[in-house]
Amino acid sequence: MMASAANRRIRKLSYAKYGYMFILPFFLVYFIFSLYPLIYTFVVSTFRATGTAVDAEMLFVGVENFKDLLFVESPVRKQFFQAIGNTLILWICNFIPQIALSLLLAVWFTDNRLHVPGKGFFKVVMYMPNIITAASVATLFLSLFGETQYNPVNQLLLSWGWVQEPITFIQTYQIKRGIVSFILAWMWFGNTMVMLMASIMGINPSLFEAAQIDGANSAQVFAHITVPSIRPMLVYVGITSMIGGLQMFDIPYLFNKGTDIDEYTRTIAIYIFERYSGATRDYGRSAAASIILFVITGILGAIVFYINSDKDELAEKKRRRKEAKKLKGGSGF
Amino acid sequence: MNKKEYKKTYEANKANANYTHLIRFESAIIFILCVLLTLICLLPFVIVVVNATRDHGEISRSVSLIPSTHLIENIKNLATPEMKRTFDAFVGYKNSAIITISATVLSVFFSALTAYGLCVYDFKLKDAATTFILAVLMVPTQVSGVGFIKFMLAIDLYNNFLPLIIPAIAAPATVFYMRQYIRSSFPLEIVEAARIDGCGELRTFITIGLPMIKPAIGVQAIFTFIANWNNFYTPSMIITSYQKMTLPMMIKKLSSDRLATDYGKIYCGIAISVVPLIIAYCCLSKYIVAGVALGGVKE
Amino acid sequence: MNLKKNLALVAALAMSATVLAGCTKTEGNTPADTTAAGGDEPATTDAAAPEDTGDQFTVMSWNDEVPVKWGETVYTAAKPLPDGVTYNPVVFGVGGGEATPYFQNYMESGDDLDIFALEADFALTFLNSSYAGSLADIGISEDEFANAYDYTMAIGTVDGVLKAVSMQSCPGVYAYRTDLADQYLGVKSPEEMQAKVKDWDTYLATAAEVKEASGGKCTMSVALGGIWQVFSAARTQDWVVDNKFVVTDEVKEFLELSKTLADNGYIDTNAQTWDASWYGRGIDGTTMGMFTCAWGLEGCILIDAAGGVDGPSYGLWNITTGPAGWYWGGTWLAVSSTTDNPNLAADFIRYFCADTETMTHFARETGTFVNNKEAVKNIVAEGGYKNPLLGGQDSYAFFAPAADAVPAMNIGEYDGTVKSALNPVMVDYATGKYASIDDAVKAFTDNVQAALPDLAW
Repeated sequence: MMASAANRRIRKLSYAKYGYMFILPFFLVYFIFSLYPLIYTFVVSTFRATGTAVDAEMLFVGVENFKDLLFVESPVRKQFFQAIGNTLILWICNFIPQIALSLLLAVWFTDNRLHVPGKGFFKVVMYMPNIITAASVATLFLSLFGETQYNPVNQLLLSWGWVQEPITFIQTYQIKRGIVSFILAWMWFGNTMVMLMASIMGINPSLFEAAQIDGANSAQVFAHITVPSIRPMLVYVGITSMIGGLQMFDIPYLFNKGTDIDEYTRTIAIYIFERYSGATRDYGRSAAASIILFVITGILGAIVFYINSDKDELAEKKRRRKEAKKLKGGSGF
Repeated sequence: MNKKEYKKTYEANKANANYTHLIRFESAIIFILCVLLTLICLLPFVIVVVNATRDHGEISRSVSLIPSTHLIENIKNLATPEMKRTFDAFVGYKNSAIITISATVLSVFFSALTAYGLCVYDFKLKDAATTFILAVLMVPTQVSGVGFIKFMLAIDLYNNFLPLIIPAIAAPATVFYMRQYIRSSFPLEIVEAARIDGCGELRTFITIGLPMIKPAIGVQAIFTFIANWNNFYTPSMIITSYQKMTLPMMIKKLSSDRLATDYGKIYCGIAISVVPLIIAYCCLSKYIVAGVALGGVKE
Repeated sequence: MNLKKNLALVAALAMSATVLAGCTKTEGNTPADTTAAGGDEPATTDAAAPEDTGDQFTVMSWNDEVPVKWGETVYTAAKPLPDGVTYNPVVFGVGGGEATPYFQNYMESGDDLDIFALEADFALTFLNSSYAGSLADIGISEDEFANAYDYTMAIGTVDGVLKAVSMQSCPGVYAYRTDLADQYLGVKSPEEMQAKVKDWDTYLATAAEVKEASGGKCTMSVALGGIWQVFSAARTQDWVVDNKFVVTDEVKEFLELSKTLADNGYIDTNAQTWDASWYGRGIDGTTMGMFTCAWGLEGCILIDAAGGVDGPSYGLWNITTGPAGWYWGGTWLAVSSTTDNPNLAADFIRYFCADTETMTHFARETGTFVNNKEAVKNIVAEGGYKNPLLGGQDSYAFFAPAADAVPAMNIGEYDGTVKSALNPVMVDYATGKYASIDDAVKAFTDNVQAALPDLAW
């Protein structure tokens, strides 16, 4: 018994190198194409471009860029905080209705007591907006809502007599934000629904049967069986949506005809993009904003991750410890 | 059967009937809601396709769901030699396909490899590596945008497909997902068995590991494909020449080029970019949705 | 173990190599040194003509007008490139306002570049940089442009060195619908119309008349951005003086006028320049006219406002000067300091900007108002250009004196950025979002500061 444990240890040791070999490509590429640029971005965030915009010389300024963005009262800071606010507003406005609708649909579609004809068809159609290129979607919605009097939506509303005056969809910022959020939810609810459905279908059916026998109603089943069971998937959806939300760029950016982004739909990603790609090539502050975004993502990510997966991880650790004990016990025999 | 018993059964039946009615009612409401959602999902595409057949004047005058007769004309307008620099469907499709397919293949293969490596082997840095991947899962690509572009300029990979393909090898989210999948549904004993049979480690991964996690690979391949196909941000900063433009970039060019404000042309371009995708999706949807669903079944 | 070590070594090497590459490039990647000496007159002491060595002749612009519509379709057709040289048009397909980063990244990447096009809004950004070469270096002397309009030359000259020349001249116009002018104002000719819009007071009075006669359906013009171009052209001072941002009087005057126009319903504030509503109002006749310019007739703007060649208002338009003589933008050609085909580049520039014969031909074919007084004279002598878009009005005869009258253009490095900062403010002030004009100016200044934080504030 002792000998075999030692054997096992040796065998494990000798296979370790394959572990390193298998994960090496990932880390190599990650270090070169993501980590190095990230570190470089961090370095740039302590510099500032001076001189003419095009042959800018980089001048070391320490934490000045961060101070400008976070502390010094100025239009620069105001714009940055506005961008953070916009990102949060747009993300929340699309994520909450999206997850609610997806969850509802997923529960309905997987409930075998209900008989919704054409389930398969609905699933397929609702997933479809997700495969369509954001650039095409934004262009399409821009042409639907884009121009005051001549957009199709206004034409319809006017011809039906629902409104007297054309609605200024793009010029009224609440409506514009609403449309952007709507596009995002429209694109993603099908995807979220399919993933949640898969997760619900993975729940052991005996749980539902037991609940039914106990006379639980749908709300109770939903709250006490469905949601707890699919929590890992909810976490996954939440995390990915948050990452996507913080780097929200395509739709709000392309939902503008030119490059004059208005202050109500300028997200952090657009802010960063504008800073380093704009005529002034403000690399320093752009990089500083990137680093701040990095920190925000880190904090939010950690919170969501710990809240949701603490128990799982703990259980996992417990199990491992138990196993280790068992092994020890085993060798003691 | 005495009276009492009969009454009991009757009431149970009645309750059951009520229950069935309720279910029917609920189902009907859900059905109507789904039909509405379907309309919302489909209408924009219908408008695109219909408008692709109408000319600028018709589109500016009114909305219609009845196709007109200008499709050929719009296509001709799109296919003029001058338009090639703005919108060239063949080139766009070719470029998008090269980038997306390469990135997808690399991404799923190396992600599976990494996840497999992290699950199957025990090594000193295993936990550190796993934690690292979980940590960088949160890092948006935008945060390193400044550095990435400066770096690509420096190593002369600017206006090149490689910066859009190679980084796909390191996809933390895909690794995370596959690791979860392997942990929950991949029996490690099988690797031991293969070793006893004298199978090499890489061969074990390719001949046994990969087929066993096919569902996860399928799902992630779909996601990666969609994400790369639709990516606008990175290509628009890396690619400059029209011969290398991807389809999303061409759409953006088409809609913002002030010398091309013919709406018939723009809708036709959107339709060209969208319709083949929709057709492909209709053919594959069974597998796509089933694949996404399959991958979700875990733990 | 060995393998692992080796791999680690390779990885480390790769990392350090890339780090190094990153450093060297970012510190001094400008092609500079040969041309930076623009001021101290290197003046081709080795009089030997430069040699063409490149196998690619690259022409770059934000849209396809110069590289494709002119360069490929016109130039290479007329003058086939020498054997072994291919024509390489680089087109980004973005608006002029978005061009800077694309240009800069392309230039920084060191790819082949011979000629690039510039728009007034960002011309100085590149002309001030080391990427723009002196035309003298490729053997073009200033004397060759004797026929060019003076203001176009002034813009292309930086510190006494000629770096870019314009292919067009671009007097601004007020374009109006002849049918509506007749219906609402009884105006029959461009001269009569000009009398109705000769200054802003008259313009306002006419706007009231149009509103009255049309029952409020028809406004005098669309898009505040178009009107701003008239005021912008009147500026005599740069936006930035001694690294300080200066708000000139034109901004206030313009904002006041915008408010008056909006309050009285003489303009639709929701319509934006470059938006379909801008054009749409020209199509459906809810505007009397719009502000555009020489390149904005058959090239863009007015042709769209007419609904295209078979559009409902095609041929119904006429042009007149409007409340002030003004100009709007233009396209300049500059030569890259890294050109490896200097002779071809020189020939290309001469073809479109200096050679009277080719420019006359070009004007005749396309109706473009070229930057060459002789060529303009030739066209006018031939009977001008009966513009079908303008119902046969001779646009050449109109533009010839207008171009002579364009004052020295005042452009600065930050014009594009400042314009972007003003755009939202003009609409917001006109629609009453700001309590006073000072608040509006403050918002404008704040926008500029957010965009250009490194000026002295």
